[in-house]
Amino acid sequence: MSDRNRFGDGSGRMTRRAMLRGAGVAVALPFLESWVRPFARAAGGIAGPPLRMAIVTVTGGTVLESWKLPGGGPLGKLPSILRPLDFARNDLLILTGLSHTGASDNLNGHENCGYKHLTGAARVGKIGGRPYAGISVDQAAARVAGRETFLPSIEMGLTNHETPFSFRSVDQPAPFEADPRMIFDRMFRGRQPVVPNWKRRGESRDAEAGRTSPPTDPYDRSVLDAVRAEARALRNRLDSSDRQKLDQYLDALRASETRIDRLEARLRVEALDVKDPGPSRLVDIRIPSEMGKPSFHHYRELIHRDPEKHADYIRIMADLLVLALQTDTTRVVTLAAGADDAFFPGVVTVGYEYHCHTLEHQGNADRPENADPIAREACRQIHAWYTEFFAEMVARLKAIDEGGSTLLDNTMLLYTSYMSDGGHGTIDYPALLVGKAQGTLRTGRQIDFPAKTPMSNLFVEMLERMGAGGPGFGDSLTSPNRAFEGRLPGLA
Amino acid sequence: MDAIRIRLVTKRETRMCWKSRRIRAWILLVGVFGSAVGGVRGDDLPDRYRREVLPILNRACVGCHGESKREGGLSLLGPDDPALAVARRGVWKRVRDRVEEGEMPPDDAETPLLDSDRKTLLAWISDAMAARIARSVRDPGPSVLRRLTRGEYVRTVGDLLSIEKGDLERLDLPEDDPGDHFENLGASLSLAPTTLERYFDAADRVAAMVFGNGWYARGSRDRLMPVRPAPNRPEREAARASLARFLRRAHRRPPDPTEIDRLLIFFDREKARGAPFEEAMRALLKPILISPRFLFRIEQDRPALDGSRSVTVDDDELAARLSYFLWGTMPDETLNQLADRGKLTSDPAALEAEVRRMLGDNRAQTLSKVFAAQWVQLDRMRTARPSQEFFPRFHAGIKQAMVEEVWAFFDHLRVDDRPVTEIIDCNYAFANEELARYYGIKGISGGKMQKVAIGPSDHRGGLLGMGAVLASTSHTFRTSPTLRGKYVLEVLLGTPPPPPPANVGLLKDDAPLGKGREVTTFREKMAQHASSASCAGCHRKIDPIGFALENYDAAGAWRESTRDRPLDLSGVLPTGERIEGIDGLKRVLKARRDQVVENLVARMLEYALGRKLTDEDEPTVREIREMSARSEYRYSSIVLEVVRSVPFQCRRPTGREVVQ
Amino acid sequence: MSRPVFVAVGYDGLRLLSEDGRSWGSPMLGQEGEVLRSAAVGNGRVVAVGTRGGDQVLTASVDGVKWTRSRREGGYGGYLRAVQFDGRRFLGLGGDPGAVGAANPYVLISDDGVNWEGPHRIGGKFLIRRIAFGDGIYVGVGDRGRRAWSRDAIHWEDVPDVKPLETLIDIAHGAGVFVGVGLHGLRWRTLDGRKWLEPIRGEEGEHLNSIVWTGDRFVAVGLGATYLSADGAKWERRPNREAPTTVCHHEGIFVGTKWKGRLQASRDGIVWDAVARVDRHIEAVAAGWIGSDRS
Repeated sequence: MSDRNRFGDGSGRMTRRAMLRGAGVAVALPFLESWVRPFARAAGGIAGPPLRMAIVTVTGGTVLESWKLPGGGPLGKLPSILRPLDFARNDLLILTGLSHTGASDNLNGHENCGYKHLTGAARVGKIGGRPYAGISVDQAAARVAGRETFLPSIEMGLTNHETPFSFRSVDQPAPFEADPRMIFDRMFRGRQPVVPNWKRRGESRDAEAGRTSPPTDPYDRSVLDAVRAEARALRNRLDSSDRQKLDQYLDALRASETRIDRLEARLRVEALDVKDPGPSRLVDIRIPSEMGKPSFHHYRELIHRDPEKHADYIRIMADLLVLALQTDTTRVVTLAAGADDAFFPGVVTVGYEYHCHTLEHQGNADRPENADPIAREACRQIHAWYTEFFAEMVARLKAIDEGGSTLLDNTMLLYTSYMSDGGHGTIDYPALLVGKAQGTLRTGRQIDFPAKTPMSNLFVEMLERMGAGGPGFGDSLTSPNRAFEGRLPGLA
Repeated sequence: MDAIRIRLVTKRETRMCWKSRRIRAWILLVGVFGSAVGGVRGDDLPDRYRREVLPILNRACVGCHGESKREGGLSLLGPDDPALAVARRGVWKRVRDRVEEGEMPPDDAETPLLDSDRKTLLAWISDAMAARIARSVRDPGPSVLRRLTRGEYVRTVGDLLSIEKGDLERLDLPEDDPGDHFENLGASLSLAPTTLERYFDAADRVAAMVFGNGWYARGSRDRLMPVRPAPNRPEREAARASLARFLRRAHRRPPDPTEIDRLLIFFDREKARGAPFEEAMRALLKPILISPRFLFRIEQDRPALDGSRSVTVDDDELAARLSYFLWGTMPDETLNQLADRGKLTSDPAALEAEVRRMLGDNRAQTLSKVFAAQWVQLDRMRTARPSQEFFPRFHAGIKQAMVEEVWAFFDHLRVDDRPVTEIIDCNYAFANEELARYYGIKGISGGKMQKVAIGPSDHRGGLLGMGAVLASTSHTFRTSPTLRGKYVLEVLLGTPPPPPPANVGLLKDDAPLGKGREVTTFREKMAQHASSASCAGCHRKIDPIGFALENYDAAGAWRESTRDRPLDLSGVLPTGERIEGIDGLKRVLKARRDQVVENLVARMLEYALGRKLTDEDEPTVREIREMSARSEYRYSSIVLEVVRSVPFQCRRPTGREVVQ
Repeated sequence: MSRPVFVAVGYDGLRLLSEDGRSWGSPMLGQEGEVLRSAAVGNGRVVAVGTRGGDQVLTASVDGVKWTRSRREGGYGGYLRAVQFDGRRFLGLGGDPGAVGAANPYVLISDDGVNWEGPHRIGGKFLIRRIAFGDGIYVGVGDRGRRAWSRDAIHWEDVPDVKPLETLIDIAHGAGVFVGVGLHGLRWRTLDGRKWLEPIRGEEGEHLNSIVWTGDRFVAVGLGATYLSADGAKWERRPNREAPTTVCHHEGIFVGTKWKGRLQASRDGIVWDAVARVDRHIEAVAAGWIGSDRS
């Protein structure tokens, strides 16, 4: 076969289409519907709360020997980083050996880890400055689980230099919102937080009733109609690559419209909930005004310098996560907690370096024994500190009664990091599942998988439980290290 | 015979880049590469490519650098037309560099490169690099539909509706991804649903500002409703007339009647409810502000006659390109009028005059605060690591002054039309009183940035003397020669080193030198961490440059020694040149001034086009530099040549775009 | 007339004093960028040392109100990191904390905290951070596991083959023995600084940052638990909460500090109460007698 350039753009440069073909993925459309199995559980068709999925991912630099037990089996005394979760020991499922082994083009270490983290893509990179990876597990879940909720998903937190972790499709990163005021606004503008009464909802099918109510908010709807008509007319006058961008715009319009539709439906259902709410108390969110004065940007720099402010911030973000799930605003949340570029005096009490990123590198080596022990210990302290907030969040989830089950029972929670160590590693990630996921996970133990088992297999398992299962995900079936036919045996 | 430069004399209807078929045919015949400068025979280049070079490539290179396998992302095979193959000079530059250094093909290649083949290849590349490539065969590069960046949105809305920028800054719009260099690269400006939601909200708030009672609100309403109802002018007519004028500005082109009609429906609906004129007009703002014609910079797709590789954009599109390049905002009245009269694409003198006017306008400060700031990575100052613990004078006021110093310097280059080589070195600096004291320069008082003449003993001058650069390439308590070397290579010379491999650590302190001797100097310690073969290859290119800057401590202050050990400022570059200290480094950079300027040109072109450059842009970049060399690389000459270039004035015609 | 004093020092020249460890006076500030890193009380006065830019800062007071301040050229490499009182005189310990393997540690000596002699270079690759004095000898501990002993605090002899993971962070003397404490609950005792008896390890993460001799026992305060021992060999572990990161003790009262700018007090080193809060970080606490001569 000749090596002629089939792609005709004159530059010989790797084109996205070529890359996609090479990766064996169908040419990207905004909706990769083909592989998504029909959603088996319709909301309102089952009495009881739905299953939620939440991913909490922290910075790099975790210290694995203080994170996992020496071997698989039932959980005894927890290693020091996970010790704050001791009270929930029976709800923990530690998984070891999971890795990403895909290829990457033109990326630095952080981007490489970031793009692969939740996508498990066989190949990640940048073309002309634009990132590409694959759809991420949270977005894949949101495609299905998000049909019934007000927001399909929420991505929040600080990622390293805004490196995207979530991708709505191969080349459409989902931006992470860092400002808690914006997140709250997005969740509750036009509506009130209220605790759903799952029992009543399941019995009376009033979710369906809500859907048939007449639309309101005519002004915004007509605005959307007008710009949609304009965009469609415009589309024909553009060339094919510009049309793609405009398609993104049209998608966004559609999403806005859906949001308005859902708002109406929601308000109806929630009006009934207000009169007869679920048994739990609403999570109380208090966002201090200093987070907005003079701007969130400014507060962000405080977060970097002062772990007390950083702690306040993580707590508020965790509370927003719980509130989002509690009120069924969404069923898929991804929270990036911590910041690689922050300083941690007072959290780190050994040595004299407090800069997280510096410590990540200083405390990292091919083998733990070869690393600087003080720096490594500092990394351990930082990660133990993150886990304290995670544990507080787990306790809160556990304390919310949804009518016979706790919110933790109804959530599949993943605690992980976008790097497996301080050196942009992608082998043997920290991966902790918390919560029994409505009985589909058998917890209270650690399972050791063979080295380099694809992390994508875990994502397959998670998507299955969210009703978004498919034959494979990411590189689960294509990785050179593929195992277990793309699944993780023994989780249930 | 000098290079044939085709003037862009076009009629709006035909939109061709050259006058007639005949001329075009002549051009191709006489030689796409018809430069006789220096006796380079360019017209046989395509032929030589086909006969001599292509077989060599197929033998020795294409196995790894073809279409199916692209080691290092490089494919040497391009379009079939050899005439066009020559134009991919970016590729040939890379090939030449690697082959000359003996790095390619690698020693373990299946088919080695014969000496005779090597000579032939390099000779051809050398001729190709020197040849002129006519504008007629230039590819203007992929087009990218560009969403307005956050900053552009704020400035545009501010200009469109005369709203105070401070109020607009508070709009909580999403930050843009800094991309690889510039945040205005179209490729990275995506529009996720959450992003559109924010623009939705922003539109509501802008409407509230326009119809509120801020001091500017009357003026804003006049902008929206320049034509008011009157005894001889019914409301709907006034609405239509206002809308026509407003849309011309908002859409940055004369509006379609259908668009006006579509929007008037909103007006009618409100009137049907009994709303007064102004309230009914208010309903129009939101659909306009979230319309794709506002949020995106739209350019029409056009066919080309005779299969040419580019078509000129029309006057309105060129006006928008100009105003977003030079001002980061929408065109003003003067520019719009020139566009209305078709002067921008038909009258080169008028175009030049307009560019000069725009450069002299205050709005061109965007070139300093956005383009230059992003080029020199000024935002790293926000997270500059030197800690006040070790550098107590490096406090917030000094950091702010260091940022302003950079803005002031680049704005001075613009306003006084200085040679851009002053970036390497110059006999002046900018500082306010506090910063001057920090630098040890006398004679400045007050909080504002001022220009001050400096001498050799002040140790400043040029980008590398600026505190912002020095402090953002350091660690908490010490300098980082590696970060500084990388900075010079990346920002000034345009040859960034590849990123480090995974699992790299910082300096270890107890690995011995291997000769039984203890490690004593900082340099030796740095050398340790570059002692492994895989690291040393890159580090010997990077570190010596950084060492030359060791006189500047981590917070950018000058030091003669580190008080307990003398400084070792010497280094040997891979070329064998020895440099000593900042003066030595500046000498080396001055000797390479062409390369430095060419890199600046490339970055400015990138910023102006909103896309990363491709291999085919190399001749354009080279040409801009060579043309502006005739004016000693003055700022305005570079800007003008960028504006005159093919990629800035043209786009690919219909059918040439491939889905990326 | 001498009276007890507790002193806390920190950023921007911060100094706070208290008589009982619970109620504290108003903070005094020095210059912006000045960090007071350590303090000691002896010879009827309070002495604090620190850095400002590349300079060493030394300041002393006999009444807590008026402070005599002096400055020495330190170079960035000559930071003073600690000051301690050995019963007779003040010892300042310093060196280059940022260097990799070439700390150039030194000692300064003073009777009054105002006039200092030195620096005496003490050799070795890494800093000595804390020393204890007892039975006629000094024992010092420092970075990367460094352990050394000396008769005069100027000439030191190092223990060979130390391991960084076994870094001792603080050391105290009592009941005829020196006890050093460190990472992960490490406790290590020696009689002479040369021969170190069996190390005792604790829980991962329970770093013992401070050890004091109260007169009848050692109290080592760690992150998560406090350890008590009468002889340095047998220890009792008592879990603690909200423990400070560094601690001092005087006449039955423990005082400690935590990020950010917090002061805590305790009667036993196990249960801690928050007693004061300032907006700058506190680096060190010390205690003793201030006023007319009573060491």
